[in-house]
Amino acid sequence: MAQNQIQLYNVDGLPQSLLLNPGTDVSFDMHIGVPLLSGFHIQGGSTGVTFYDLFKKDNNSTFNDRIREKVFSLSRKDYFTVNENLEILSLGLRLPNGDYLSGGWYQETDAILYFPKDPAILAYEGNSDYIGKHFDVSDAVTKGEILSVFHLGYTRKVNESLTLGLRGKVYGSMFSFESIDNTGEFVTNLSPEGNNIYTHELINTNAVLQTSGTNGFDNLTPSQLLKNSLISGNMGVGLDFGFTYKFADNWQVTGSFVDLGLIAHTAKTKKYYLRGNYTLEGIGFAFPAAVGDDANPEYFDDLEDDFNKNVKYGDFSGDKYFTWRPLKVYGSIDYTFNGDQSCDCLKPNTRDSFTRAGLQFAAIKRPLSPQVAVTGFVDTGLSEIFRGKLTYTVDSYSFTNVGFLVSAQLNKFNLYLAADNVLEYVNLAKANNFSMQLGMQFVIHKRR
Amino acid sequence: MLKRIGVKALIILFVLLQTGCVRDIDLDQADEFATEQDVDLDLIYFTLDAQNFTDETGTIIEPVTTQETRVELFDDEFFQENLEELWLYVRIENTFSQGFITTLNFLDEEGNITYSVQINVTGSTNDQPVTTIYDEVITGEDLDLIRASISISIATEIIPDGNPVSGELNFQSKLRYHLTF
Repeated sequence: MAQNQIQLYNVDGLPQSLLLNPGTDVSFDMHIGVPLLSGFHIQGGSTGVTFYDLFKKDNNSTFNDRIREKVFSLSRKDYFTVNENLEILSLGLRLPNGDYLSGGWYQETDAILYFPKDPAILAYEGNSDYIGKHFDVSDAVTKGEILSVFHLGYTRKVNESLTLGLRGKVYGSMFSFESIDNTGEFVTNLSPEGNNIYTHELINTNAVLQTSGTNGFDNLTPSQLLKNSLISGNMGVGLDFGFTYKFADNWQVTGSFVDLGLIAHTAKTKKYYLRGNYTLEGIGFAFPAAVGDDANPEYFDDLEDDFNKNVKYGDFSGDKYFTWRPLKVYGSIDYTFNGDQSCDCLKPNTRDSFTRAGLQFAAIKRPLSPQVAVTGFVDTGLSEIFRGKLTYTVDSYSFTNVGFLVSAQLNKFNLYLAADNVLEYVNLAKANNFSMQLGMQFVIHKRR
Repeated sequence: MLKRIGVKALIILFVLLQTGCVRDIDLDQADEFATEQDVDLDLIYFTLDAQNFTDETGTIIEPVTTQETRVELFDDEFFQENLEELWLYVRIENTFSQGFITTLNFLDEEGNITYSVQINVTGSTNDQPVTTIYDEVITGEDLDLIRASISISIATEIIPDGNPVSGELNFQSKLRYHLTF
């Protein structure tokens, strides 16, 4: 499903936990999401810079000073992410044999942009102060997609200790862009033995940006995206699988892989490219000999022709390519206090009175390196109606990420709200990362 | 115990969530965004020897030799809007005993000279290269004249000194574009 959503993982009273681990040992027997409202998640983050860093009210520095400072202090491994997830339909039912069948349809937006350090310096300052510096084209790395996902999951309680789950997915990519594995360098060198003062060199450059769904960026409109949400022609398949294993009294370990899948992009694709090698020394005049015809070649045209012969750039439609979905890996180990987790058949909600504490792990595969988060949590029943989860997460954004989840079960109606980085809510502009989840649905416990 | 701590913490965090806000920032500062860029780019280079001026007998028959090229940069919308200053830098090494007058003319679409630079090149006294450096920062109205140009011509005139015509003249040049956005 979406990125991390740490608060929802392993909350066995919420259907959304099945989307993070189809092997969650869920306690309910049926769920029906309120269409479009059963699950909404939004997250935005950046490493190395916050809104406050750039836009703070400060008489000692200007906005441009701060931009410049960040251009140089951010590294090529710093990144900006955005993730949004909206459940359109969500349904689940416990089968007569005790297994749980769940499915639905959600829309997701996920994008990452790594800070293109060298291109940014070159664009921001020019090359004059950087004679001899090799500007690395491979710093340009970005990937993003808007997609619609139909899914069907099966959760089987194999025995009292082990629950396994599997979810199949069909992806419909509404829009996708990807520019990874670029190579090449640009350098301006002094040329004491050369024809002119410098040589400007484009070395082994191969940079590509691929898009699908809208034939480039010009047709990236809401109406086109909406159309693509049903039929885009860019389809893929994926798999989630996971488990819950109670390995000792009150101890359990869980794990899952989410979005092990790929998408074939064949419709409305456009590829932007730049590749080649070139050394420019300016325009070399060839003066004619005094004896003979005066000649004045078309120097500029010749230079353009030579450049175009050696460096290919432009765009074309109709390219076909595959993208892997960003694979997520989750895991947890926890201990349950007040350990009576057996169901009180007359008061099913009393099952939720236990307190669980443990550690969670979440990782998402990204183009340069995985984003990893480790979370300590306490998940406890607050009353017969409310259940809460408190989390402390260490990740690439921050070491002070405290979050929570509150879930209310009002008879069969369930509401939940979760947020991350709550300590930063004093001034959200200072937060490196922000995420929030909320939803409402009918969650039904049958009396047995 | 754990539960009590958890409950209190959740209440505090929930209150924090309700009071969450964005403060002490001014997004209007984005309107102030400006950056300056200095781009160094080679311009024209060439080498001249005696053949460019003399016949087989060593007699000067073409005292002035000229070449011209289109340079489709200055009229580009990008440079029209963002070019703030231009630094022309020329380095000429001469081993001729003769001196030269090198003239760079910036020409418009009709071939009219919009801006002109003349460089007096010193002759060599001992066959060793003599370096002449010319540089000029072009701004304001002069820069407008450069922006109006589409071509550059370079004419090099040899100044006879009575000595046999022999040697090399190496011409190198670059421009530094100071751009503001």
